[in-house]
Amino acid sequence: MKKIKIADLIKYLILLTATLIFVFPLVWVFYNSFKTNSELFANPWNLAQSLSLENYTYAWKQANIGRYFLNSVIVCSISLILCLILSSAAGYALTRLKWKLSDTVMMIFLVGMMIPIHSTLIPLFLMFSRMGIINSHLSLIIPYTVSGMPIAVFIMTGFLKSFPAEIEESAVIDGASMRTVFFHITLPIARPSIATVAIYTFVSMWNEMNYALVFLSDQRKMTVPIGLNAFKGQYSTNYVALFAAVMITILPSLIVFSVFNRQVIEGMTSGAVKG
Amino acid sequence: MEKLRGNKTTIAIFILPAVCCYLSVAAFPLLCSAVLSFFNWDVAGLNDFVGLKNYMQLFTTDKIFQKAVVHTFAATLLCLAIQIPCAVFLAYLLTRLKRGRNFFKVAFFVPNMISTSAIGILWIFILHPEFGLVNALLRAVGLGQFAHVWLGESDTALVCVILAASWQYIGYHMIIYLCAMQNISSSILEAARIDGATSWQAFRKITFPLIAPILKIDTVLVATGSLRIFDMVFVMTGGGPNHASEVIASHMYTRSFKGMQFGYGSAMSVILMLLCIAVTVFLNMAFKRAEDKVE
Repeated sequence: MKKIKIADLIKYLILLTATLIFVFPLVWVFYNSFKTNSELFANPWNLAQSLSLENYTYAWKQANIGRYFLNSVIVCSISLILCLILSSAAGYALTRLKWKLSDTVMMIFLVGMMIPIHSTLIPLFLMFSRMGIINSHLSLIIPYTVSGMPIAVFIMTGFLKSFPAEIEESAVIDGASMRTVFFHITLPIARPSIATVAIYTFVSMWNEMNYALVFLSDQRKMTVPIGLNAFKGQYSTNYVALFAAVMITILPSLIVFSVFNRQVIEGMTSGAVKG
Repeated sequence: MEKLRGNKTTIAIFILPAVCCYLSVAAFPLLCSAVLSFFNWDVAGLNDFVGLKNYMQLFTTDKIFQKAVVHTFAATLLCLAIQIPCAVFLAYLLTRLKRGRNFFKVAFFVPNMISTSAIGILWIFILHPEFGLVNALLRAVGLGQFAHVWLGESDTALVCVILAASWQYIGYHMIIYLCAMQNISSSILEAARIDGATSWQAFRKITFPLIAPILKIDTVLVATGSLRIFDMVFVMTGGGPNHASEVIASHMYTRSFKGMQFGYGSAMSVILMLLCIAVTVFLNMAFKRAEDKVE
């Protein structure tokens, strides 16, 4: 009996060490973000002498983080809505309607999950330059919408396949059109999977930096990740302000995660586990 | 019913918008980039067909690219060696836990919620020569002579970037293995325990073979993900010092969007794509061979 307890103790000890490795860096940045630069250099371990929000106000004003947040919210919400509309309609067609090419189309979406982002960067950059939309939010909304689609289609078709179509069939027998069925029955039924897709897709769009880095050079248009990176370039010696800026940008993600962690984890891993 | 489900207009309304967007923004550019790689295309609008010249140049004269290829492979091997064992080990510990599983699961997953730019900056702080945690820790335990300018020295820069990337992704891969292990029926493990198997034997003979299919998928995922590594390199070192942490994707970015050599950059993106496909095929074959051997 005693032996088992020691084994348990070791298990928890290892896991707590791992937790420390994954979580302490964030805690460390948090409490250092209240210090002055000289305090930071004097001792990186201890707490700040006085709790001042000066770094936060400085970062917020100088780094223009408010602007970046607004840009990110605009870009990500529009992309998310478009992505959800297109993918849920596609998911419906792939599971509930009968047509010859449906397997082929599903295949195309699945292969899409494998396309490296770098292979589309240059052609899209040239295309968008020619269209004159480079440096605008539209140049992010278009690729974000599309890059969210494969996983969204995948999760939704998976859900709809597992859900019997009988309710929808009886509605059709009662005289509803396929479109009515989609809006009034299928979409409400698929709400949990849409929520999973929405949260997961939003998080990945919110953190995306490849497209944003290449397509946006105007600071006023930048989204949070590249805005933060630009701030790092400009104020590289004011470390504590950078600590505060990092803290501001990760706080929303942490809040979202503390509320929706189940959906986020489910969405992020379902593609890998079932694919 | 069948007639309604086969109605062409309905089908078109539901599927065409998604497919059209998808083909024009994902599939079409992919094709373009393959075509572009045979051209000498720059910002002045110059566009001559040059055949394989871009590829020849990459493999003969571009010393930075050759360095980047080596670094990319090294990074991939390192990611595989760090992320997969850690993820499997942590997942295994969690399955044997009576309480607190969800807490640890969420704690390990937290880094996946944060953008790479924030994580990159966070790790720049942790590795900072003066106030960084790593050096402070070394000094605290009396190993001050091992303190380094981690990101500024060519021997350590790439390894540090990989460690940061692994810190970000281990939790993600752990969840994948955790799902796989939780799908194993507990009665099998219970039976093995009653028959006197040690936990190591049970892991080797039962858990491991049953998670092997997921292990294969995840290995491909880690490998192709690390071949394409870019964000973390870009934020933390920008490929420096003196190209010591340059990888294919970062070199491609610099050449395409700083040097405006789009044809040349496309050639690199094609190589990257082919590498991903080749590694996927290779890993699938290697796993298949291992399976055959076991049987």
